[in-house]
Amino acid sequence: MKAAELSQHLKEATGAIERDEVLNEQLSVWTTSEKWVEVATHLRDCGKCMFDYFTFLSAVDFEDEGFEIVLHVYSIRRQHHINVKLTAPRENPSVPTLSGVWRGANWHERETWEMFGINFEGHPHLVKLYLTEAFEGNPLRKDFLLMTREAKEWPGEQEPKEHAG
Amino acid sequence: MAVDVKSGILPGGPGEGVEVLVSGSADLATEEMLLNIGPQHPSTHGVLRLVIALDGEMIHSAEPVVGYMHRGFEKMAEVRDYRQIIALVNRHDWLSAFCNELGVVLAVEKLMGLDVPLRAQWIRVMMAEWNRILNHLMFLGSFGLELGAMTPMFYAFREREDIQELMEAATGARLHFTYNRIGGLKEDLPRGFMQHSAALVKKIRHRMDDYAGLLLGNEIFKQRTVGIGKLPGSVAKEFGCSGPILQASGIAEDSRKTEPYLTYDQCEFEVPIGVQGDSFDRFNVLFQRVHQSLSIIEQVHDKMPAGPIMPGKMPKNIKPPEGWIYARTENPLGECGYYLVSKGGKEPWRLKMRTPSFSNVSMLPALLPGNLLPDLIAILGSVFFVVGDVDR
Repeated sequence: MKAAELSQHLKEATGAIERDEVLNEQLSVWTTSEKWVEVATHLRDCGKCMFDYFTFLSAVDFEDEGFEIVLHVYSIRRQHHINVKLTAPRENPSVPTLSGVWRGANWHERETWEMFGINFEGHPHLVKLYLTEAFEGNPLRKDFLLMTREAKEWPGEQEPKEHAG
Repeated sequence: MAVDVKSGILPGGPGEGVEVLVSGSADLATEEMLLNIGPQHPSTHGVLRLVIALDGEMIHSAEPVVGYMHRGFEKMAEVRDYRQIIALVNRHDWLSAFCNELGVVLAVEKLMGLDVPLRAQWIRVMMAEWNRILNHLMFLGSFGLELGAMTPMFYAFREREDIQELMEAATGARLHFTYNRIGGLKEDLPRGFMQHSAALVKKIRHRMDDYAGLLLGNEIFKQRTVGIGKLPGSVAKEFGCSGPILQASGIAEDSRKTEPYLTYDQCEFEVPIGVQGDSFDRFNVLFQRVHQSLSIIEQVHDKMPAGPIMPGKMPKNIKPPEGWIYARTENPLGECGYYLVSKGGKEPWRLKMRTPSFSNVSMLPALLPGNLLPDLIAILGSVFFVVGDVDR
């Protein structure tokens, strides 16, 4: 299905799409955390959508605007992609888990949890994936600085011209 | 090999024809035992640890423990500019370096709306396919080794050496090529490259017959792999498995075919698929993919145009406009994708790496239970993954 058609279909069928945008021929739709699982289940089960292939789930830290959780799924049968997005607040971000919809979400949510500190309600096994148990902080948050950058600013910050001058 | 105990007769040997009485139930309940495999096990291609709950020899549950090689590539990418990221990403899956960097440059080029010269696109196709063969040979050799066959490993490394020499001639590197640039390539092919490449295609194709004889028709190899570790297509899709794992389960998904990038739409090739999704099918699909890659390389030789390898006018600083993009490529091990978020700066705001091995390994808890411990290595070896690609 074309991006515009798919977006229209989702708006009518779920009534939970706040806004949509097509950028670089890729469709993104925004929903809310209350409708998160409902939209995902619809994407999986609806005959028009048939998103059977779990690509990835992650988040982006937009600092003051909060976290944006990104779910990307693909339909092998229908051959279309979708980004489903959700904005979570900076304080105590929490969304329901999707591991009951696609089992592949399990590890992706564990990674997002430890890297951003976003809680996934109802996750069956929310323990650290990469980091050690004793590790403190959420490394992919923007306020978590790399140790080398704390000591010294990135030298590439300068423009080539400035550097020559 | 399974012995039919119900008939009470063991086939072969001096005991044939002798009645054997088996008392008690075959599925006798015993105490569950936890077994740690790895992180330093040779069959895990790196440091992967598996915690397995065993009942006798039957696997009840399996939990991969990853993170021993986590190097924080996604965080590092946020403080490096786009040229540096090319050198960074060809390290997470060290067996498919060229294909990794390809994904990043495709994402940036699409976000910036850059037109890549046709010659550069064809060279990228050729190098990506050579890298695919380089990767597959590694697994063709090591899978044999894991099942006790030494020779394929030595053969594979002999062939890998030839390919690495060829790629070194063009890129200057043997493992981490860093041959891509945003907009094109580092430099053009050296003189005589195409002749060498054409000769090597013939040589590898000829030698692939040796592998077929050594492994595909080998009775011991078949006994160890046919019908072992069957993965249904629906489970593979749900976990986001891709590449040979998905194709062996009967799903012909290959982004070179379904969403062609570069000039793959002008190449003729097939997507080999399996029937049962067992270890043998996974290996066989990998094997057939090498033949398809060789055929693509031959087509590239015929179609390679002359011309520049970088666009005439390139901005001094690479600054993609604000926005996001998901670019995926069919890597040797499966779908490798980069979700890139730009805020218009010199370095990405966020670069999410969606690596094939991560999804493939996350599927193991669904695949392993119900199998026998002796089959574990045969299954693990056939779920082709690189631990660096899992941990990033």
